[in-house]
Amino acid sequence: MLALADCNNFYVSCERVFRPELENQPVVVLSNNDGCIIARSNESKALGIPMGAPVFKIEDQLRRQRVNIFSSNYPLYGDMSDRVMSTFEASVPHVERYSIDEAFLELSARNEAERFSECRDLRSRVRRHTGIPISIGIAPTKTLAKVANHHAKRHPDCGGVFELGDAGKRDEVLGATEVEELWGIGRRTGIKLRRAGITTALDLQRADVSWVRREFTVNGMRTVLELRGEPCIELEMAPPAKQTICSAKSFGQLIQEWDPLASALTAYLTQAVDKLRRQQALTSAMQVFAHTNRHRRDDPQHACSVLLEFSPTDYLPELARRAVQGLRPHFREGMRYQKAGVLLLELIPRSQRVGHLWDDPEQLEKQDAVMSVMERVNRRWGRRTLNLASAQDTQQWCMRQNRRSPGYTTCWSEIPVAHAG
Amino acid sequence: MLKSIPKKLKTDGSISAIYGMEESGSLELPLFSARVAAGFPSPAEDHLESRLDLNQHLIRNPSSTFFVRAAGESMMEAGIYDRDLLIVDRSIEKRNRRVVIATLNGEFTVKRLVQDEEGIFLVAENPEFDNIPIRVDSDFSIWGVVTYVIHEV
Repeated sequence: MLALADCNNFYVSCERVFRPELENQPVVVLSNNDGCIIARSNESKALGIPMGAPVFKIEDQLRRQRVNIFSSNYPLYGDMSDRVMSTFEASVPHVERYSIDEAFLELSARNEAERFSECRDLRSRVRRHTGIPISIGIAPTKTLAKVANHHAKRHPDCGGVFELGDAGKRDEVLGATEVEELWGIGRRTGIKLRRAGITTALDLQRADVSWVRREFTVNGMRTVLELRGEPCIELEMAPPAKQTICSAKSFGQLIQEWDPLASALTAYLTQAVDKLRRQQALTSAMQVFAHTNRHRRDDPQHACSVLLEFSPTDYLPELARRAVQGLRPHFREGMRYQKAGVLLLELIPRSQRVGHLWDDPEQLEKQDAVMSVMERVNRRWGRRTLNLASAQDTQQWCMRQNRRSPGYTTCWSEIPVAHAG
Repeated sequence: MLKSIPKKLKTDGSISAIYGMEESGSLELPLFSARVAAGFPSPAEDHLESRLDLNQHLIRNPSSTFFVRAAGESMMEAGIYDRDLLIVDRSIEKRNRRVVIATLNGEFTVKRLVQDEEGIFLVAENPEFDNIPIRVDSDFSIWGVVTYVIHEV
């Protein structure tokens, strides 16, 4: 049997671990640049604060209802996620880290009662060790485990653990699940299914497999079989190495000049190269792009993008020079750019570097030494301690994060303080 | 320097042993470089072991361990001084007489947890400070157990 363990309102829960007084209070977390709401506590949901709502539209409501607002603090969430996942890994034999706040687990217990107590134990262990509340859905397939998890969250009387085991219970729950809520069913598939008279998960489970396959490809068919309890989607223990690495963000304010844009680009590239080196890979092509804000109808619009190719490398200064020089001719003075980014392509494992005749091995060694020193310094004294000079002009593009909580677990100067007074 | 709770090293003037310490968590293992060594192989080569790692000694459960800064002087006799760094393990059983991080009315506090026939108390380790009785209606919970204090001498 499989289980899907999912952290409840994860970002909010992370904030509450270090601000226990916010328990039972309405809390929301905002997206990058404090744009819209990406996480809500149950109390905020009950107040009718919609997910994804742009903050400027509901500012009055938030103030009136005394909602506690946080900018997103990804270093904190990443660390807390790792703690939760490690606790899973220490407790059950196989774990697939599915997202920052969800994991599929393979349970060893043989019967429902044992599974139930295994998951209850796990749930209280994660809560005690990390402070994060989780819900667990148990079922024979991933798709059903998702449904079971959803049920566990919506029905507090389950105590956070729910098994979608016997057929009777399964049909009842699937009948109460809208077809769009299913894992892998997108908005457009949902519309198409509804047109064919399929509105609940139960309808889809009972649909004709060959018809589904014809209309919705093999992916749709998998969903149907999974709903019937036949596992089609395996547990992935080691996620495959990424084939592309993207680093792109909206600026804190619109940018009209080249220098700050080049600086933002260099900073995003620095993050991408960091990821590249961590997965021990080299890149030999990159796409560099920038565009204006499409939603500002009155602004003149411009989008530029350029694809660059070169021999495999992970050397940041060279990549930065290429990216900045590559995009420069496409930049238009006076446009109000909102976003820029880089996409590293054609990744190969570092071990497969094929030396060119004209590659200077000594040069490559030196480049590697420079990158290693930079990484060591930044690991020890914090990100961006040692940086390319062109990435330092941060004023205009830096993210707006006016309400960010401290780096409780990631920054020595910001760890929690306990009063002994 | 390190002190464990209860204070062991503090009263005693003698030092029983000194170990070389690894100061950071990321161990740099001596790997062989790509160039072929021309001289004699090192006689220590077959005996390479990683240097002592302080993390290993101080942190039993990395995923449940947090660092907390102490502020104030109410725990001085437990070896905790103002600005000391506390290592806090949330997974450890919150037993009677442990030094704990508790949350009281929304604030983190470090005290000794004492439960006796008169009730539950957060006890200060400094005669100048009062003990705090925990009432049924107190907004109180135990956040974690303090396992070590790191104090700069």
